[in-house]
Amino acid sequence: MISNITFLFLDGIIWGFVIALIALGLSLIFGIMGIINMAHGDIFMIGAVLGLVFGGMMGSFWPALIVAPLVVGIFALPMERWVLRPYEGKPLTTMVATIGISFIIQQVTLMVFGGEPHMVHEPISFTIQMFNVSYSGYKIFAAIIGIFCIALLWLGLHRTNFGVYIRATMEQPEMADAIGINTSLIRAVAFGIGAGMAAFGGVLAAPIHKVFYLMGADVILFSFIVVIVGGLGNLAGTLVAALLLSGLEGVLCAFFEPINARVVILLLMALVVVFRPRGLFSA
Amino acid sequence: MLSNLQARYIKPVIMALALLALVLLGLFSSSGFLSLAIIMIIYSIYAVSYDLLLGYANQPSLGHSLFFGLGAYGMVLPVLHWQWGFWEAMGLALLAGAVGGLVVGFLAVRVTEAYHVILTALIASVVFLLAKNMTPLTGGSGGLSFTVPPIFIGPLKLSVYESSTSFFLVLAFGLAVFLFLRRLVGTPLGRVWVGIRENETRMVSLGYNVYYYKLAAFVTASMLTALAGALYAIRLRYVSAEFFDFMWSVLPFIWVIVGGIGTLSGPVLGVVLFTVFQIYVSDWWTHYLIIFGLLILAVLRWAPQGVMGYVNQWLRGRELKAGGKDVGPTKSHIENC
Repeated sequence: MISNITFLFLDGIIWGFVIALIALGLSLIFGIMGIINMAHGDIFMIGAVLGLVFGGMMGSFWPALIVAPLVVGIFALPMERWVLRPYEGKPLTTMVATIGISFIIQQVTLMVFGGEPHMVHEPISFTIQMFNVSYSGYKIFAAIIGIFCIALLWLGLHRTNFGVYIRATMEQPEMADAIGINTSLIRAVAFGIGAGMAAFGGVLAAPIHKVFYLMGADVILFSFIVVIVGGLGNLAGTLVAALLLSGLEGVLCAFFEPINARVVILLLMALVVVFRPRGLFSA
Repeated sequence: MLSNLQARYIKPVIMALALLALVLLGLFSSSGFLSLAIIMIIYSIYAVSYDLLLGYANQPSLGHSLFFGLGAYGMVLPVLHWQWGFWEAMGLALLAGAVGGLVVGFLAVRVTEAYHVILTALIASVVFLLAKNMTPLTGGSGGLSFTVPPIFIGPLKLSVYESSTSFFLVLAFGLAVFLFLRRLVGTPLGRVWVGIRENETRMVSLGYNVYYYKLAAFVTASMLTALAGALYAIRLRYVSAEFFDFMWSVLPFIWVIVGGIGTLSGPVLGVVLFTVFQIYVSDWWTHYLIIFGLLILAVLRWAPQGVMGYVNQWLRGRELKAGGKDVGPTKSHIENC
């Protein structure tokens, strides 16, 4: 029983690293631009789809892992600058505007690729014996890549000049502007980074879950819960929340059906909202 | 050109004419047309209650599908399982809406803008998933069909299965809700809501318990949304988990924004315009959601105060020219949402 629970907890945490990529992107985008990005799950989906497409074109998974997020990130830059910029700072407006974008992305994907779920094969298949169960080695590998990516993000934010500009724009946009930081560029790039991370998560997740035009829906639901518990705009909090909630949901699945486990997580989130509305880990 | 008097009375006159037209419609048109009209009136009830919440009390919620579904199930389940009558079941539906509004509002009203939007959307989404899952209770996505019991009003016994009865019944509800809300926003309570919308900090400093006022708006809106849901279930003689779908939370926002936020008459116009648009375009192209998405982006960018917003501005301009009082600059508060 204990080993069962531990196993589920670890499985949850492993998946949590992939979720963290998406939730961090969401939090970053909100933190800098005040955009509640309802299309984030669809960016995740596009990442997976492009991973499938590029993987097919290039014959292997690995280049797709780099190329797909890059393509998404590059497209995201002008998207923020030209489409989303007028709505920034107004949460409700951005939420509905990105819902509109979400419809467009979903329907275009449906038109181009059809509604059939596609399988993507694991690029490395091996199993590890964990607690007497053969566990998919790819999942662990995906988590490690996720950790690596998150570490890269942290390094970028805290050890480079550009990272300083991003953090400055996040905390004090007007001041940042006043001292000459090109906040317009920063915002576009930050959106690109956030979107790229979601797409990266999508490519990583593709071999785990089938690729399907609506696959973003469940992920974005969970990501929003994570971001509320961790605190909108609070990156460290979001990371911890992603791991904790994911692990917790895994454990709860031992006792409840998945949907009821999700309800428990939601109730926990409600508690956080009542007692610590800025997020569990806010300063 | 328009005298002061004329500018002031143009809107009520138009509304009275519209009402007359509706009554004539009810008496003389085909049941197909009536069917559409009934749906539009039900949507208008939903839209107007959402305008109360968004346009007056400034609570951006995207989780109203929850109350829509609650109202529908509150109406259907007692009739289906316990053979309740029409009014009793309707009462339960309204109660369900109010209680739901209290519970969600308790959580959602206390937090800031961004969290409020996300929270309401989240709660509605999870309830949607739950409803889809609890098939024995809710019928899942397939839903439950039911027979609508006869309606007793005094000595009369009416049945919704006659299309003109159905129409006038819904029209009566619609009128009642519209007039009620019109009245409500004119009361001191309504003025407090406007005050909260315009400058919440000031209201707090004046000593108003802003939380309770916002919660009151939330619960009122959720009750009326539940009414719309119940009427919708009655119209379709059917309810399903799909009533909790996120689309039902987005639609009222669209109706209000397109029609005119904070005007009460705007949302009705929004319903008409948008429903017609939806019917035509979805007929023509399966992927009409793409146009829907583009429309959302366009309206939010270039016309956030909606059709009625423009109309009101024009009327105000006329009134000023004709020598009326200057009521101050118009402020499209959606810009601050």
